[in-house]
Amino acid sequence: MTEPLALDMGHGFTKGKTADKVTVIPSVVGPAEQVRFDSGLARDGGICVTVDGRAYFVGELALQQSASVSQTLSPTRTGSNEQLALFYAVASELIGPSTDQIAIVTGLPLGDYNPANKALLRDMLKGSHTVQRRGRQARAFTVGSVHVVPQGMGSLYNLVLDRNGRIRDTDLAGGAVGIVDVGTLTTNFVLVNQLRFIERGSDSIPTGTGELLQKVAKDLKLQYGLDWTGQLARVDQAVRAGTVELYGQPVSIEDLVKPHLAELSDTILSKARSLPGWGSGAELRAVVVSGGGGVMLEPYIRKAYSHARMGDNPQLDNVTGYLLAGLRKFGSA
Amino acid sequence: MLQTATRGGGVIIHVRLRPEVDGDISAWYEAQTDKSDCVRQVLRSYIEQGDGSAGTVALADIVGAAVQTALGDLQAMVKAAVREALSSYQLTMAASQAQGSAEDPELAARLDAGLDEFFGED
Repeated sequence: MTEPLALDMGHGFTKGKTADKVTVIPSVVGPAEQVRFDSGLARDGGICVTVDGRAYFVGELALQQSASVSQTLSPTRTGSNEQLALFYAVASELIGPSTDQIAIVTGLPLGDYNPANKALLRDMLKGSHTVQRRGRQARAFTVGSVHVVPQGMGSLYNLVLDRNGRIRDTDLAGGAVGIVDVGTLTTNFVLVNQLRFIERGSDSIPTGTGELLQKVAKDLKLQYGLDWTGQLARVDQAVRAGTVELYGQPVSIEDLVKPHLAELSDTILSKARSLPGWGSGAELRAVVVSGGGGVMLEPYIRKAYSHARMGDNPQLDNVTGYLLAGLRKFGSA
Repeated sequence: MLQTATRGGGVIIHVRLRPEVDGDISAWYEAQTDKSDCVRQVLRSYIEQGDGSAGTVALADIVGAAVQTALGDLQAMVKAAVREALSSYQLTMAASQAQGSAEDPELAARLDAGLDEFFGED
């Protein structure tokens, strides 16, 4: 039987979800052969997978152990071995030994949502795979189909559909809705009317929390001597916590972060207001805020769109919606 | 608009807050860190006050119980009576929800057409 697997390969984090499991892995990949892996880290939960005969550390293990980890903010990586390593890492977490047929539902930013990029993604994911993860038994499975939707649509499906993929919120489903999906490198704006994607009111900009984190990292170095410019995941944690630890004492960085957040939100809101069908938001039934940057930006977006709303876990909204759409099309495993 | 749905043996309540009339509620709600727990506490507090529409349903039970026992803790009696009243309410809602669970056919068709466009290329 075919099992739907939802995959959201963001520049900051790669998210995967099946009907009963979910995983979030930092989108960081490093060559394993350049570090020692005799320490047992891979066996203790770290992810080391093999692609085309080469071993890669993925996620936390790459962050901790790969001296040459480069990841990360390259927008042109579709079809690369690093991206396949991320998919294998997700598959090794989610796909059980009894599953052999998979249908993948995934997304692309609006700016990259074209036939060429969709074909690249499909070519990479579709077909037979054998995932070899250090410390675990190899898993073989076949991806029979790959379905690519515009990023941001998943966030709407997440709010509108129930766990079987049936419409549960007819109020939201029946109106015009704007979705602001704030990622690491990209912010997607999706306009939907009665569940139909409206292309002329949808777009993306190459701006996201990555830019904010780089600016904060620069300020942290200038003000406190913390050189975290190559550790954006650490900066992200500090921004969300609002503090850093200096000489054993917590120090608030909220005043340092606020101007950058305001600047990013200005860019995002300016784009939203310029899109056909958005404007002041008066004709939208709701503005949905999602993505890994959703929590940081939602207060600012709400100032412009008072009817803005956000799910419980905006980082997972897209991947959850992809899964619900897949369950509607293919049913549960 | 208030909607309910049953899932996993529980009742899920959806309430739409309109900015023009419910701004104060929205602001309070957004300020809560554990939103679900806060809403439960507010509902319990309201129930324990014994007023409002839920209270009128429960009032006969409360008085009956008080006369019969003429003893006991009033708060416990209120809780028990309201719990009983709500349990029958929940059953009623579950039944009506089961009957009304069909999707809006027009919206369902639009959704499926959209998914066919996205999914049909493979």
